[in-house]
Amino acid sequence: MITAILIDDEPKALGTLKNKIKKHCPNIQIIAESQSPTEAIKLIKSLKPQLIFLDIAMPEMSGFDVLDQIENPDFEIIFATAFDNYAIQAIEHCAIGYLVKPIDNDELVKTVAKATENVLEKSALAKNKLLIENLSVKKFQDKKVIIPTQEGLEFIAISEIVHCEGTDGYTRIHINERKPLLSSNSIGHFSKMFDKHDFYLVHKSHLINLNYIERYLNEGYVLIQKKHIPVSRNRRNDFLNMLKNK
Amino acid sequence: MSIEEINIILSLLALSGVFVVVAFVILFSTFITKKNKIITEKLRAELDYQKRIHDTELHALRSQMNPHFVHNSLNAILYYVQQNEVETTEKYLVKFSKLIRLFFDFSRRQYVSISEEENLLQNYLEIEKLRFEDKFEYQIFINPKIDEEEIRIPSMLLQPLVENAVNHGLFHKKEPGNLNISFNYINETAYSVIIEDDGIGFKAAQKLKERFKNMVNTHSSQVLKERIDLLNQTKLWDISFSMIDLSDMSNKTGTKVQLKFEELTEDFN
Repeated sequence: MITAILIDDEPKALGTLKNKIKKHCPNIQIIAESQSPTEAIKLIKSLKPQLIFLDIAMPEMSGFDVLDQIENPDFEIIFATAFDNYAIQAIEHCAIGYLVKPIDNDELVKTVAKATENVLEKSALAKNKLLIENLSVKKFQDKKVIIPTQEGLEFIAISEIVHCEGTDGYTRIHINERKPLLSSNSIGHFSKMFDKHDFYLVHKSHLINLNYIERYLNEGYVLIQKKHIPVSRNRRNDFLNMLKNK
Repeated sequence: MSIEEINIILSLLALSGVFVVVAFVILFSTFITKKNKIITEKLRAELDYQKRIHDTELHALRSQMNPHFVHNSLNAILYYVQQNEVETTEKYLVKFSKLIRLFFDFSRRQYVSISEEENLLQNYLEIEKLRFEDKFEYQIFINPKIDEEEIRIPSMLLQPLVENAVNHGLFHKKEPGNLNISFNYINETAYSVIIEDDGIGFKAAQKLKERFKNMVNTHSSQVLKERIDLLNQTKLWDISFSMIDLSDMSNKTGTKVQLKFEELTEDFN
């Protein structure tokens, strides 16, 4: 059994979540629930749950602030949000789970299963701390991302990621002056994670960091660290326009 | 005069004739290019203006169809489904659907009547109350001297302001709050709208957001100002806008937004 606290300011959202967990996640034991961020902080400190379900937009304090107020946040988190691309991106950078409201039952089951696995791995503290650190970093390229691999979690500065290459649902991440990493996430996942921030999907299986482009060749290639990366025909115009306006 | 002299005079005449024609052609073509240039410039200015109008209208529609609001409302309705409360579920689904229909309908129109606007605001606030339960009460007051069916208001202008009052003012307040919307008579062609809440005030709300910047986009008041500018440029309205943090002038908290509308013409299309 995994102990969990549910935090959401809206009573109905809290009720919905609770009903769903009871019905679909038999391994979760709800030990407390709260509608107030300040109360939630106290509950977390005293009850030391293994998992918290945390709403992001709340009065007085956001879910991120709640996390920031806890000295040793060594519990798994599943964030819940109705819609907030900025927040979702920040959460994904740290390989933390989230659910969008209204919550889909299958997603809930999947996300809880993943969190259950993570509880055993005990990697929560590092992930949560990075999230707080990233939120106070202004420049996107100065933030770090966590890339889960078979061996464990890799912490990589976004500015060091040169190019991501999709292969059969996996993604090979080429890092400046380091051996490439293999992630079990698809290239689409990374494209979304780096969206609008100096990264461009030049081809359905190539995502590049624009800061590493050395040359563009008219036959439709970009040269990055001596490698030719194809720019697909229907993305060329858009890509070149974007480079010009950069 | 010898034949030679006549020949010279004739050829000179012919030459000057050619000159005149050439000069004429040059003059004409420069005139045409200039005219074309003026036309293109005018066209471009017109297009730019149209584009700005469309951009701000799209923005206004987006701020009405705020995804946060849409998803949170559906999530609240889901609660009644889980509780098997068929009648309440029905009631709110119908309200929600009505509201979305009004959003789409109004977004295609430049203006609506005051009574239509009131209907939209009421529908919207009923759904917000479903989410926040007893967190706030609201009143909408229309001065009886205002002809609700005849007097117009630009569409999609008030609701984002009311939503601001709920989300940034009342949302962060601990105790239950109040929201008052009033339509006040000035004269036959002019009226004002006041949206007043006793929430934490926009300055305090802004401070809350500063902890983790970029969290929510704060450009909404800028978008509103630009929209009002454009509406004023149509010469159909004269609109002025002000927003006051009540803690600046009294020991109360809250935000008061005032809009004054004057219809400049009856010539709406």
